[in-house]
Amino acid sequence: MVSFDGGTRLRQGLLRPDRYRELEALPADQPRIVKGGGYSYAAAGFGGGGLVQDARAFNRILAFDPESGLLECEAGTQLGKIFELAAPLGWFLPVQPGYPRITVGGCIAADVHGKNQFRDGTFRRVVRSVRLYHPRHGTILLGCGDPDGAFELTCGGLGLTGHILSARLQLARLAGSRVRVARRRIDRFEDTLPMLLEHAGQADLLYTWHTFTARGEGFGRGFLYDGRFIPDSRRDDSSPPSVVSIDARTRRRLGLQLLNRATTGIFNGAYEVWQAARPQEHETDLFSFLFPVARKVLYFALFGRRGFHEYQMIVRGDTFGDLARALKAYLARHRIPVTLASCKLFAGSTRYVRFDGAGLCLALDFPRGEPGTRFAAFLDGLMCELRGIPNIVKDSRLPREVVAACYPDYAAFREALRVYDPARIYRSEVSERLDL
Amino acid sequence: MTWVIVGASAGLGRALAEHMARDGRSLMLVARDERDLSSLASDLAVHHGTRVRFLAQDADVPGVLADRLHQSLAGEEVEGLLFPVGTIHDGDDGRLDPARVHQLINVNFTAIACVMSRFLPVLLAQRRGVVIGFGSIAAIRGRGRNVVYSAAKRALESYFESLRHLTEREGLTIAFYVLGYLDTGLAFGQRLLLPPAPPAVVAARVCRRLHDARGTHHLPRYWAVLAAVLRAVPWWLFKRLRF
Repeated sequence: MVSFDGGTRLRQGLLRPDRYRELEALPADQPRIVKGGGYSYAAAGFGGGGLVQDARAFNRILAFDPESGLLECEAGTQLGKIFELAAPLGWFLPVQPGYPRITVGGCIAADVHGKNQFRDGTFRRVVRSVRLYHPRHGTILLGCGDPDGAFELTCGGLGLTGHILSARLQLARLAGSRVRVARRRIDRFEDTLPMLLEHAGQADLLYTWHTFTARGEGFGRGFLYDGRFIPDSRRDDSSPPSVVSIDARTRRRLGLQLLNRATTGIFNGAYEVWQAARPQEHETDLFSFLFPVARKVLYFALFGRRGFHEYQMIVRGDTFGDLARALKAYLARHRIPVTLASCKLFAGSTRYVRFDGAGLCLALDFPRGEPGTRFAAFLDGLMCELRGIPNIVKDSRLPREVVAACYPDYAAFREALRVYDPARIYRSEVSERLDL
Repeated sequence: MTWVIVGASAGLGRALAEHMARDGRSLMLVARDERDLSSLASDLAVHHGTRVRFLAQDADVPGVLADRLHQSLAGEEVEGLLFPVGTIHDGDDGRLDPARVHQLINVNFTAIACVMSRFLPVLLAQRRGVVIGFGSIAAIRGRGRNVVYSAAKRALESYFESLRHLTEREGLTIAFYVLGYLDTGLAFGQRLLLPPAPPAVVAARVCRRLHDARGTHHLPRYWAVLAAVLRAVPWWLFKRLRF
């Protein structure tokens, strides 16, 4: 098994249960971990020395009330399946990542964020209850009302509290079936935060794109994208477009790392020119709005078999200037081919090991290799210095020391896990590496 | 008009249920575990709005299964019965304990014969109906790896041939599919000579010819050629093969 970023490769026993009794058939003390779609950049769904249980057969919708928008589904249900059912009835998941084959269980375990975290929060906000299986506790129902219970431990708990069987989710009304996306120029990276704040309250989609391969004054220039539903826009009745498979196997087909020091500047420059040439506003269909990554397999394939790093971080607003200066200085000295630099605005607070908090979220992609590893280590240091939060599920090499230093509740999460499950039978490469 | 699927909770049975619900057919799903059936029935009802009922009953007690299913559908017209039910055991090398031998024969053969003993009179009275059984390429030639399983599946093939002979002029459609490797829990993790077929693809083929697929067929189709070759292999050579 290979992590999505290509950083962790392991051979391990894999089970593919498709009946409930098979979930309970393992000896109670057998270490295990549950795998969903396999789109965690880090090895959250395998490793840990036990068995891996592929949960994708448990992908059924158990109930849906088109009046209230309350949906109950098994945790292996893919986001695309919920979209296909709910969108024609005028509902959607207001918090979801951009690839339709990601599972609901994965969204809960990683407490993912969506198009505008500042306004909509993380996935936990749409979860009303979770049904969880753990050999020690049996099958238990966890409600969202208990701030100190296993629900809090499970949402963003990296799958370490047990096998998420099903969840009840509160969908939101679709304000329209098409989205108008407006583009604004960002001249300097330092302008990003005030521009995001200006748009954050109203936007249904809000993010920025920056070029980090430009030098001097142009460093970090880019665009802000503000997407809003077009009220009462007509639904496109054509079936959703096909989804292109993205994983380490599809990347391996290309073999070579084509996004590298020589090509990334051209790649970013071409993207910038293309964007600047497009009209300032354009409309997009609902599927493309919700799942922008569905057909962008080429971007990931260009990293080749070796893979890439994604470093996603939240920094407080008052430290953003320091972050921008430090990045500019480092990248001026080292020619790291940053293929993606994108910001979102975040609101909230960090608890346990959830990737949440108030400030600016910056994601950086760069090819895997020696310079990339050094850059990631530099970012680790920067996070410790600025008291930022690095995203655990986006980085297959994030060291324990960095997580312990950056997450104020690291020790509390570790302790709570041990109280809940002294034998710690749900283990993954991530939990072992971070000593959780 | 109800379609019965025995062994509906996973693999080919689940794929058949999904395909038939998509076609708007009213279903009665039968399998061992209520949790699996309840989840599947809900999913099909939510997605397709079709009438989906289920009966949780282990096929290892064939008489009880037949009686309960018959009672559940008393007075209803039954359009057809499909039997994608089956089980295998590790160590089926002629030395299984008797309880497991009984289970293999019950689930793979006796349960189907018992259910049909209840429903054949219903279908004959209707003078219409479809019965579809599913065998295995493991039963083409007896082999040391699946001793009881392949015997039960071969008995099933013979049973369906008899059923077809019996009902030839009664307006029923009796079909038997010999299945090659399928990408189900039974095959997962095994070293296979050929790639396993997705259950959804096989289910689509079965559903395309629900009413006119009389006789015995192989799925995927190329298994018909392989089966013929395998049958033609002389014993002196066959006994040397390890597969």
